[in-house]
Amino acid sequence: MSHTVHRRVPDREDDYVLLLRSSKGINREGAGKKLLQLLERMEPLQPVGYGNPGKGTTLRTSVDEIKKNLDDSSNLHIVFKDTQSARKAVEIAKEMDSGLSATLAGPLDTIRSMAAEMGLKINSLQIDLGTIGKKSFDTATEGILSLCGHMRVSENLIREMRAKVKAGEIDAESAAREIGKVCLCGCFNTHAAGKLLSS
Amino acid sequence: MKVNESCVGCEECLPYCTQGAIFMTAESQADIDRDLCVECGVCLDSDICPVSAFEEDGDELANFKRPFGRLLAKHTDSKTVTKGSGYDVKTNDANPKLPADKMVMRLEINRPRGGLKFGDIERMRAEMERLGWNPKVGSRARNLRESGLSDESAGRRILTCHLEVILDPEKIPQIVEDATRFVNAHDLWVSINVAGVAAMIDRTQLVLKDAGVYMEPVAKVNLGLGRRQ
Repeated sequence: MSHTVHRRVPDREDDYVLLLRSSKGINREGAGKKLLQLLERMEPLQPVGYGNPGKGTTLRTSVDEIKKNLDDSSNLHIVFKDTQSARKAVEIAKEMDSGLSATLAGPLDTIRSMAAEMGLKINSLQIDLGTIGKKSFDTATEGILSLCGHMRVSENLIREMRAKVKAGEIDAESAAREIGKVCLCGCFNTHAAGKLLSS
Repeated sequence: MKVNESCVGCEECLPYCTQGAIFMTAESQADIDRDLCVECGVCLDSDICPVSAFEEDGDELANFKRPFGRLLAKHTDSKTVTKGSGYDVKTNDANPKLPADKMVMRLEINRPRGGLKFGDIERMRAEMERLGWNPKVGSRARNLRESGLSDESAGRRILTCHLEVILDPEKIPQIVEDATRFVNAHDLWVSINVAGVAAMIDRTQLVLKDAGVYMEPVAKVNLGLGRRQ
């Protein structure tokens, strides 16, 4: 599944996902240690969250547990809520020169400029040509649904959380975290979802 | 998925089901409509049940659906996860697999939200093939087609699957038009993406702009930092 391509948040610069991974038989040896080093260098940038399908996410597992579980077969998804943090994360990845693949999902023009300014030669891209056909959900619901590319968020949960936010029973950020707990790979952006829930 | 007898009827799980398949029985117990259930496992993984009443089903129906719905779940026959042909932007720098002179298009059926009949994939594949696009589908689907799709499996609901087509950028406007016609006639929705090496994307964007094909201003960009050890 193309799980981080079709993200549809209105404020594009609110949503970046950095995907770090190795390839079996290519650059896997020592990858776990490198991922941990990269993560620890990026933590001060205050990412919205991070995780890995088999190793846990910050909404479901303790940070210590996630770090302990990182091994050579792991990948790591780190979500940032602004361009400045995403840019610094890419700078760190470039400086550390781990040899692991780094892919950034987000606004295309901004990422292209970022890469050009840092002297990075983009290898490949996957671009979003939109959605065709008849959708039954509204724009804000689509935005929140799209933040979990594995389609683990239910419309009914979004509806319930929106109602609770509207009634003042819960704040939007907490509601977004509750929804994000169903994401197993760490790509859910609670910051962007919180904005959509209160919109 | 199934609900065991420990259910206390609190109804906390109801909104978490991605397909609205959980319902309350006359005895105030949660139960699952197995036709609607796509085996995504969110009811179990969300830890929302206070008494751990959700359990995985191990029968043939659940095993059929699970690899299309649950992260990392494997098909019981092929032992593979449902995915495309291995063209992956995320590792293409260290492990190049994307074609140098073509684009890889994915038509992701009922994304976002999910929920479609297995036969919808086969119908769309057949129509796109009739139109000359040579689409490939997920691993299990491909096996089933080769072995003959049964009426029973065609009616089963799954979370999602995608068609994959390798093509020249110049052909993208036509396939988008063909797919749109099919999708509109069958009450589906499809999210479309194309992947390629950097030089091919530049060419593709020019083609799409000239043809007036819609592009979202977002992308997944491999920054070229990966390399062989």
